[in-house]
Amino acid sequence: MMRTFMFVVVAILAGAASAAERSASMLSYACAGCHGTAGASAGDSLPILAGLPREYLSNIMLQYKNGERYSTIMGRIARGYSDAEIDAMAIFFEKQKWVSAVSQLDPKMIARGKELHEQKCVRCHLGNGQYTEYLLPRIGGQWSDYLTIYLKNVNTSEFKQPQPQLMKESLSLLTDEELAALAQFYAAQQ
Amino acid sequence: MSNITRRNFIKVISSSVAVAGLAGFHEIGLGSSSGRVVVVGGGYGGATAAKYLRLIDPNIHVTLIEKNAQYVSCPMSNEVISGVRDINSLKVSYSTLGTRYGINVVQAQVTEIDPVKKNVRTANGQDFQYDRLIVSPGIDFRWNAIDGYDRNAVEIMPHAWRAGPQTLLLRHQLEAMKDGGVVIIVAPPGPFKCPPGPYERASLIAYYLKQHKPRSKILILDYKDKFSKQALFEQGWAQHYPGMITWIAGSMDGHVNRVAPYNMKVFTDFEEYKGDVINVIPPQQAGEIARRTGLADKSGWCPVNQKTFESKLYKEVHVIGDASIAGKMPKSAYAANSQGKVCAAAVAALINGKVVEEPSYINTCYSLVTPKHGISVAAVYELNDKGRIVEIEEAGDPSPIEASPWQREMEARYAHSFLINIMSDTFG
Amino acid sequence: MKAGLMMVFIFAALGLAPAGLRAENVGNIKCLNCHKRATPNVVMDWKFSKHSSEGITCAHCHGLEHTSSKDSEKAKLPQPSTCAKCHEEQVAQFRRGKHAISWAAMKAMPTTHMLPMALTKGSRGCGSCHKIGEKSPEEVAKLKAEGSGYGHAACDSCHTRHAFSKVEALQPQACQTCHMGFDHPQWEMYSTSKHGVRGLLKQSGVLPKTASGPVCQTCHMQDGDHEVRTPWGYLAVRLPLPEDEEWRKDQTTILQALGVLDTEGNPTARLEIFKAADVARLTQEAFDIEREKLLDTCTQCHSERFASGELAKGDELIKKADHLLAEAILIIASLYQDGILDKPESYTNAFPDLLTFHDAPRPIEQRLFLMHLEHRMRTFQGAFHANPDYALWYGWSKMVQDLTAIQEMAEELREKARNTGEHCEKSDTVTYTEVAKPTNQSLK
Repeated sequence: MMRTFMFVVVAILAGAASAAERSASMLSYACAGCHGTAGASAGDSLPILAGLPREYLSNIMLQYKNGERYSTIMGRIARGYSDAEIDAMAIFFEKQKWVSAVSQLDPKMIARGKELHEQKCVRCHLGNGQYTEYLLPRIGGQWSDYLTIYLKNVNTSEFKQPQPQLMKESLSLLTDEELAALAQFYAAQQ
Repeated sequence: MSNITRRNFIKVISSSVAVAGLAGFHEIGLGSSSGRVVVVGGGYGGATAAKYLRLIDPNIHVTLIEKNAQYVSCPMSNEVISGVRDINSLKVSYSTLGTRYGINVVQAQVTEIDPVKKNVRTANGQDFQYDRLIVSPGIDFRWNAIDGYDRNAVEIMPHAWRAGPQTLLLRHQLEAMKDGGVVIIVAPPGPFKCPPGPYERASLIAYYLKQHKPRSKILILDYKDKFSKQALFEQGWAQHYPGMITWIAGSMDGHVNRVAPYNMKVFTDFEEYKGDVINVIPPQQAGEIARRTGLADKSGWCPVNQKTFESKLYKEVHVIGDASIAGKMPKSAYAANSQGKVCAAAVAALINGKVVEEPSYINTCYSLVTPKHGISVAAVYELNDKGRIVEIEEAGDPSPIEASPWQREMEARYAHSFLINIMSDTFG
Repeated sequence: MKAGLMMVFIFAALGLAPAGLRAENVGNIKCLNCHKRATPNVVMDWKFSKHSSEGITCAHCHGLEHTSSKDSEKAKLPQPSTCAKCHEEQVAQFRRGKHAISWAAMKAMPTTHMLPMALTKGSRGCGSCHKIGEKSPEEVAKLKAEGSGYGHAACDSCHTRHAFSKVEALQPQACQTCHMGFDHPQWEMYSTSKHGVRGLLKQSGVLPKTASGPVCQTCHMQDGDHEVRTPWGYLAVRLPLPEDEEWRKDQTTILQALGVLDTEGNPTARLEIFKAADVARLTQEAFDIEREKLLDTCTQCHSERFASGELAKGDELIKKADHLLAEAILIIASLYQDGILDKPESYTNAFPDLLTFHDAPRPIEQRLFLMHLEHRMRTFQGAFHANPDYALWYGWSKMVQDLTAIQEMAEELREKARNTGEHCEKSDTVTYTEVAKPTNQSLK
């Protein structure tokens, strides 16, 4: 990880330092106060960004910025950046290595979550949620509290949460308890 | 890994530290020294600057001088005062900065900075030569600003504006107070550290009192006529603590100019107030070492080049965090953390003779009205063409005034996770 | 408890960031990082797909096993069952229809086993279209072993990989690549018919979207039904046989020449293959259902009387064409019967086998092949695709010429036999079921 991190830094210093643009690393450092150094969040309700696909990060941030996706705070911050800057940060975080969350989980919830995963989610969230590509985020090893909040918001009509149709359908009949079980299952996929 | 018991959990963490430490460390190395940077003050600003310097340029030798063995986070310390948090959860050691990032961490009191000889001296007589110095001393109080509020008074009327024994003192006083008592909070004039802090404190004290001493009252005597996130706080107070908290603006005679610790009284121009617990948050200025070195101007704060944080008064000395005059940025943990990174990148560039990057800064500031009712303010900053840090207009704003309980709960949860991440980004 | 938990999280904070704990390949290897260079247009096509915007990516169809250029064989090749994971209903419809069994239908044709490898390997030749049929896992394994790295999915015949576009599959051109040419020139018929001209003018924007002008899918995929069937089926033969006495005899003759009925008029083993491949409608009900569906569509623009009348004309033309074809079949059958021509070794009966196609042994049988597969097809397909020119000049007219030529060739063969006195061994296996001797009557 450190190597990647420093590679990026060196590349930026060597390359674009003379431009008046704000570099990807300079922009991304400022995110770490909430999302952890290099996007390796240690806080259970804030998502790990490291290693997530550029397209996912860029897309979701643009949605926050444009008000197409509800957030408490992310949209207010996203509006401070150009689309190109958002993409630069997405590239920065994609290059960082994913570091799985380690949290206290309930084996019963994990087992229930596994059942639900296999019934509802397995078609898309391959590799027990660890697979990530393009607009599909890695959720295996993500923080359970973050996932719980996210899933609950998908099911709450007051929040705009653009989702694949299939995801909305799969989640619509689940209770808060079941959503939490799913979140715990994915959190356990280290 | 499914269920993680506490015991296993710690084991996992320990082993991961070992592995990660090795993996990261060899690559950092000490290398051939391309420059020596000394950082004075290991708060959110200084520790961040030290860590990011090493991440950005592992060839720079970094010494961090801090008088305390461990740091106690001010953010969330109001939860300790309200009794919902153990203060130990706010403590963090400096050891990771040494072991993982190769920072030379020195526990000592800095007694003298010589910006001409480029030397830092500590109380035990050690000297540290630097190519560039980063000073992050935080705030100091203006001891003469409130008549009667001196270093002895703080033991009776705690400021609790540095997390630690003062925080616990205020907590104990609240525990000892009778139901129906009056808690007075004296709120300072700007600029001061943590603008929404006094009002979060009032909220979380009310949270405690409502459950345990519901007939008690809180009186905020303010120097100012408005305060951070005011509408959101007042909305929260009306919702959770109706009639419990009274705020008196500066122009409505809220300005406290004298205290009488032994009578437990505070005095404004026209009134005197007796309290059962009195929390005086005094007016503030830059940390003492910065002022003594001559880094502060007559405002009491340190003027800096807001792109590099290099002092306008001494070359090759940078001042970050609460002590600096950082344009529109408030004095907060997040701001100090963000400035630490901008400063680290600038210092690394300057040492290597490279062009200093265009900076980018963020401030995010969470406050709790209850442990499950969070509100926030956020801003993204840039450097304008006059070299001043300004907010990017499109971004920012406080939380919306119209929000559901679930939205407030989400923000409270984010607030708690923010604490962990900013501690981890700074010290871990 | 709360404080305790928080402490744990602080440990997490200080322990975890930023160096790696246990990141797995599956979460960190991204297919696109290689494939945007290795197969850029595959990635480009997929990027404008609904799949990409819905988060359906490479591994959902190709699995997680292939992770480097060294193990590309580990990439799974999708099949309809892969698509059915999400598009269950459409795949179920597809499986009920004739497209799904087109691979089996192709295999059922003796000719396909006699083509040169260059035409068949890698789904060339018949396979290039018939790949739309579903294959068994064994067949896929065999194809893969032969080096065929694609074309197993069937669904991508119309929803071309890797865009898998519904819009694309809804265009008539989606059908064009297969429904053209020698034995099924529906595209040529459609595109030069009034239906097609208007349909294509709508597509090009000359006519508004609301203008009437059907595409293939309008009549053959009503309500998006992926079953795709026609009343008459590919060969325009059906059971039970028609009421009309003469037509009944002619269809019997054709079914015998298709090897579905034996010379006694009893079902053969090939009937089972026909059933499995669903080449013909085998019950009146199956026919009526499809005819009703079609009428429903026609009547969106036409009166029911007009539409039924047009379809009846098509049926009538099949009847007439069948009579010509039956005559030609019987002429050749009588040559076998009378010992003028040898029964080809591969034939079960001394009766022409239409399904030998171009592998028929002699010019007279070759001509019968053209009469059947090229000209009879055009006759009735032209009629049903609203293209009378095709039905007449490329169909009926050619059939009449075929019959004349076959009569002529038969006469010459008989003449030659009479002159030389050489007769083959008479075939004793041929017994006709109420088969009339061929006459020229039908030509008049």
